[in-house]
Amino acid sequence: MHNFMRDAGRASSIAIELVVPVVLGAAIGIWLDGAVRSCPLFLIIGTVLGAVAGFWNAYKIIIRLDKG
Amino acid sequence: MDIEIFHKGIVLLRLDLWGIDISITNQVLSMWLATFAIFIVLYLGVLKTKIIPGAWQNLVEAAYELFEDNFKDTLGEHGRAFVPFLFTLFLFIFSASFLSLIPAVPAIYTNINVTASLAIMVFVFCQLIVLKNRGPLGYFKHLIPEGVPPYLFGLIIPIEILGQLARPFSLSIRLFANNLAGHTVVFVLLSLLLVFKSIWIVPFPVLGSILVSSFEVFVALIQAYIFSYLSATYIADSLG
Repeated sequence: MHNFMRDAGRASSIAIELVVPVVLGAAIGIWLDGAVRSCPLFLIIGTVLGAVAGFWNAYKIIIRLDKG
Repeated sequence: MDIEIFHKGIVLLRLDLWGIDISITNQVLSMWLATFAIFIVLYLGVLKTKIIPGAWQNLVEAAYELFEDNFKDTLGEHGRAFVPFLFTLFLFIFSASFLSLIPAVPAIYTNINVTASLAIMVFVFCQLIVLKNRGPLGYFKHLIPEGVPPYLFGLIIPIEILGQLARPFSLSIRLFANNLAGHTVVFVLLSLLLVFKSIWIVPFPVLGSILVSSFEVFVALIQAYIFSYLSATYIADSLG
């Protein structure tokens, strides 16, 4: 039972840990664009880095779930 | 009942510290009640410890040992020192969620400030563990996975920082959303009494809210376990 709850807890993180880095990356990109007035350069860089970070988080969680 | 009060709480004593609002609300009282309940339960368990334990001492020791057994594999040998912190976290989350099922006791985890505070506390704690064990330079080395060539360090570090920043959001939003959903369902069911204003409708919302509240006990236990388990995995990652 506790293995099921552990796996459920890890699996429930996938969605949030996939999406949040994208949003944070975009937010940081927008802030930097506002500071440097280079729209939409940092927005694109931030979103791409955030997407990579999100997928990397999801990959790490899935590998852990697979190992058990 | 105003939905805003449902989430923000009712201010009982307005306090201000250098412009920061530290008013005592009914949700703050609920947190104090949960803390006091945990303190009483644990204190009675360790008040007069004996070689052959009494019932209360046995209960507290068994609960702690069960928790430690569940988490020792995740934390490893170096992480066992953090079991008391995680046990306290688990008890606080469970007791506050459980007490909120009593009518008139406000649900503190329907306020994202509370869940975010707990999540940020765990996140900062993990960063401090890495800084203490590895130093400032070691903190950035810790972010880089094994086998990454040096020319990618500049790219990997921001990616890992963004990935790490997702953790407090994950912890806080999960606990907040689960508690909010449960309490909102009970609120909506009981509101049907006001909408229909008929005695014939009474059994259905009342039975429904009793069933949902019973299920919420299970949810409170699971969410407390998941929060403390994920905190344990983050601490284990920080220990390396």
